[in-house]
Amino acid sequence: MLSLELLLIQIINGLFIGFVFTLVALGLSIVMGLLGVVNFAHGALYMLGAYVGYTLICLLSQNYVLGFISVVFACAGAGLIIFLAIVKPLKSKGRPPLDFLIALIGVNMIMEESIKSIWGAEPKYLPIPQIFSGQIAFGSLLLPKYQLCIIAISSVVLLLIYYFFYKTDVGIRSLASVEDPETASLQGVNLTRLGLLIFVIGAAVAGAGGILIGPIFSVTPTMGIEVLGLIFVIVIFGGLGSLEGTFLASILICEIRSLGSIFLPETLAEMLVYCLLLLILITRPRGIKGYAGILE
Amino acid sequence: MSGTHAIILSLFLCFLFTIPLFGTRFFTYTITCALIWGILVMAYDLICGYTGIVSLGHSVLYGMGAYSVGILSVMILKVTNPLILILSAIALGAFLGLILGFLCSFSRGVYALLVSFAFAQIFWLFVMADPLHITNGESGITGLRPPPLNLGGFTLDLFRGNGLYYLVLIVFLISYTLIRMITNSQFGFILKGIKENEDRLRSLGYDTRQYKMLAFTLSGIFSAIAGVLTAFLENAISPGIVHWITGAQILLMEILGGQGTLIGPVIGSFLVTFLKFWSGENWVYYLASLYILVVMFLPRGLWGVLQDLLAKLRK
Repeated sequence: MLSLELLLIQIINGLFIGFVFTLVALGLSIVMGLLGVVNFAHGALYMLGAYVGYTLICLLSQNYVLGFISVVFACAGAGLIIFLAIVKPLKSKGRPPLDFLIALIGVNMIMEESIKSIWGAEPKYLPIPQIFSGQIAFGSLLLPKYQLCIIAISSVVLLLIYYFFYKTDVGIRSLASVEDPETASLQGVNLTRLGLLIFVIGAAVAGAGGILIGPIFSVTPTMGIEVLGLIFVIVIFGGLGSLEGTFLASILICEIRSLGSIFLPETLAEMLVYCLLLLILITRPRGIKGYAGILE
Repeated sequence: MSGTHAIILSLFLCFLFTIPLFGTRFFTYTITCALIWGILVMAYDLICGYTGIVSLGHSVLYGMGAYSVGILSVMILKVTNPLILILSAIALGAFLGLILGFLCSFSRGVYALLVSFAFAQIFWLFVMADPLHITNGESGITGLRPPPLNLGGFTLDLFRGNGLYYLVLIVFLISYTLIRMITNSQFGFILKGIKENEDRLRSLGYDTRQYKMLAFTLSGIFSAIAGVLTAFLENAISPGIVHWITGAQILLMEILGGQGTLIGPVIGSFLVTFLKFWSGENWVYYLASLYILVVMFLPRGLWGVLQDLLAKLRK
């Protein structure tokens, strides 16, 4: 029986997961548009965020704020290493986008295996911070506090990102370069350096997404792979390098999954999402925005 | 083919045919695995190396080939005739290949890869969710091996141990010959043309989409055969075989060995299989590092490097 309460709970669930996935997808989307780098290790960065967060919060200190900040820096560092070791050398050789993708699958393998050997294969549980545990009552409706808190924190991060891309010089330059990388580089924009910056920011924000979602899902060595597929759907659906598009796509897709799982088993609801991706790519073979771009 | 080539090839064939006589059981098992992967990666080479479409969806063609054995022999119908199992797997592989080819033929490059990625995810979720009650969900299917053949009083067991090894070896050699014939035919040259410059071929009047679909269909047939052999070898299958990670492993072997050469992919599959079984528990690190190094520094793969070395030696 479909009650209003269940519906609302699922809408909230879809919403907060949508906010987190926007964080994870944004960096990927802009780097894909800017450099043609399809980062298959992006899911691993998100997973790294969750694991580093787990270690800092559960094993070292109980300080969530400190944990959050350290995660952001740790993932930014990992992103920096990946970029300097893999992406930059390949870019300077002028290799096609598929080569980046293939090399990054290798990076994903290494990261996943290291995480397995450092933290073990069994799932870890990150507790919900004390002040955010429990529920808030809206009339007869009980909403979990932590989910609302995730929405609030992600909104703040998203606003910062929005400010960066629309109000600062570097941000505007990078969005312009996504529109037309060739002209931008003719105008003196150093695409690789810009790419480095966006890649590192993307990695940091993905890690932040990982630690935010950690207390809700368990932290497992397969969480990166599981999220990667959805992130690609979001990026393609939202259009490469589009902030608003990615946000809307993320909310839409997570709502489809969340509301779909009321009526269908969860796996079938997820299948719907991938069918949607197929449908988009068949009707618009270059994604929603439809540039030929650097990805062909 | 020059004289030295013929000698090396026949020595190698002699080695392959005599392995069960001197090798341990585990060694024979490793080679069997490597040969099955070899068939699969050669089939993949037709798409990736020759036509230039990087797909992660071959795990579906391969995995559903294996699943078709499980579905027919265990879940419904209880078919045990190996010929029927293989033929139905081939039909399924060709059909799925055609569909994947159709879906991938709309877009190019990374977009085509994402199409195949979504295709693999859909089938993996289908196998996991099991809405039709044919795949047994997460636990997979066991007991796939057909009983030994009974040929008028004397039994021939081609589905385990050394018997399976020879079956796999013969299928491998036939597949190699057939795929080599495909790539050397006019059709094969058109596929290479698609990789080099698809727009030019289109302007010359070739309907490249149809060629891509046919290539995928052919590739699907060989992939499904590899799937059936895996089902016989392992006697069990689980949904992981359909996941795009398996597709990424196929891609990895292809890239390690060298694309578009048929020999390279076989080298890649042997290398990966041996690393996996013989280099201890850290094999993923070795493999992934080797893989990244090859992508970065040897775009033509290990076979490309070998060819260059041989050419230098001849001078």
